[in-house]
Amino acid sequence: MVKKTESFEGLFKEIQKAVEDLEQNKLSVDNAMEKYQEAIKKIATARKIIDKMETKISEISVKQ
Amino acid sequence: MSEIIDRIPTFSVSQYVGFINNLTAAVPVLVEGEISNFRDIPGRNFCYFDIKDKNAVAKCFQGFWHSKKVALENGATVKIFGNPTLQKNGSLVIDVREVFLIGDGALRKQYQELKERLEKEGLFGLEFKKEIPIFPISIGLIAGKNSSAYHDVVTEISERWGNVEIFFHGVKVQGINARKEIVQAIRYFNRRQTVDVLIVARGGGSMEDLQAFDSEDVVREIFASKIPTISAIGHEDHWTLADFVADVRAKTPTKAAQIAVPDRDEISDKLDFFSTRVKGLVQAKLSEAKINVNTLNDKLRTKIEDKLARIRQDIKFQQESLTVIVKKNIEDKRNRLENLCKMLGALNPESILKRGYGVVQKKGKRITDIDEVKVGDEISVRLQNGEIRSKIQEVRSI
Repeated sequence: MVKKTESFEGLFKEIQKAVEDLEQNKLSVDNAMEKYQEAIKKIATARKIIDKMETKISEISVKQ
Repeated sequence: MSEIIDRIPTFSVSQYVGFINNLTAAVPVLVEGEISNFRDIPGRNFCYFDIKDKNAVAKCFQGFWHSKKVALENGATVKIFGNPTLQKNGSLVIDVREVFLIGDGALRKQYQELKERLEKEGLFGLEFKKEIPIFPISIGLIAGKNSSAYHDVVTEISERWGNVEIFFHGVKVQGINARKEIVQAIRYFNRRQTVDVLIVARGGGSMEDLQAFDSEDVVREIFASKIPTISAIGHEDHWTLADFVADVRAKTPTKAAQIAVPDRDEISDKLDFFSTRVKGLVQAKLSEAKINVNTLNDKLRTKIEDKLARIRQDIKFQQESLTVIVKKNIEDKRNRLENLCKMLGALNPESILKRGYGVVQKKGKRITDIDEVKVGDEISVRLQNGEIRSKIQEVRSI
């Protein structure tokens, strides 16, 4: 499988996890604020990625 | 004429056979006709058959027949691809490389038999289906070069998502070598492991056109693929065997692209939802914290006030108790004092004198015993209002 570093998928999952953690309501106020700020930053990053997305096409030439 | 003949080389028979076969090797043929006289040699992996039409018959030989997995039987209408070969015994035989069933009847029968066999083997089982990743970074596309399927997939992916690299492996999608090229393309991607998902796509066509995707080789190759595979082959309502074995079957190439990548607008909406949600959750958390602090504050105040009230109560009680005790103490002491006074009063010599008693003294010393005096002694007797001096005339004990 392709190595995923800093991938959109990773970012999206982190945002989902942050929402789930906040929904469980087990965090202290300080931790909740920290989680919120992280989530907002990640959402902004994800939006930037979406805005810049472009498809690249490579044709494979294989001797038959 | 003789000059022409002189220029023609002379062959031995063997050389002649070789010469003819060299010529025919460069000129493969496609022949359509009906199979007859089919003979499968037991224990050997080849077969013989004739291909015929109304007016002629040609002999055919196919090596590695069992591995081709095309059901050959007398009466089937086929198209064969191969090279005419002159055998050493002088017979001309078509060395068959590929056989294509034609006519829906034969194709359907082969399709059905193969489907049942592969299904029984478990190749279409749900337990083998792999999940398609939600956010693939790269996609392998196997389709015909410049085909509608290729354009549909690429266009849809670009418009719908965009954040992906497509590796396109062009293949023949029908006819000769189609099966082989599709198998090789799937193997290529699996060997290199450079893509997150594979799409195998082609547009609609007849059963004959789609034969490669009904072949056992292609089906087994898709089954063996470690990369999740989406198939989008043929018509919406017709499933090729490749569609059954793929991890997901799409009705069209466009639909395959929609399955392979998410929709940019949907994901953007999801991010908006997340943003609103986390803000709401944190605000709720802060409100809850504020309420908790206020509640604690109220509880603390109440506890402290209760405590102070109890302390005041205690102090008051203690004060009252102390007052009572002190009063009692004073009363007791007063009573004692009075009693002492009374006792003292009782012991006051003057009060004794008042009761008629006197104090007898001799030469200033008080006499309490008759042995202290004798007859003739002068004594004084102190009474309450004065003193009597006298002389003792008699001493008598009682």
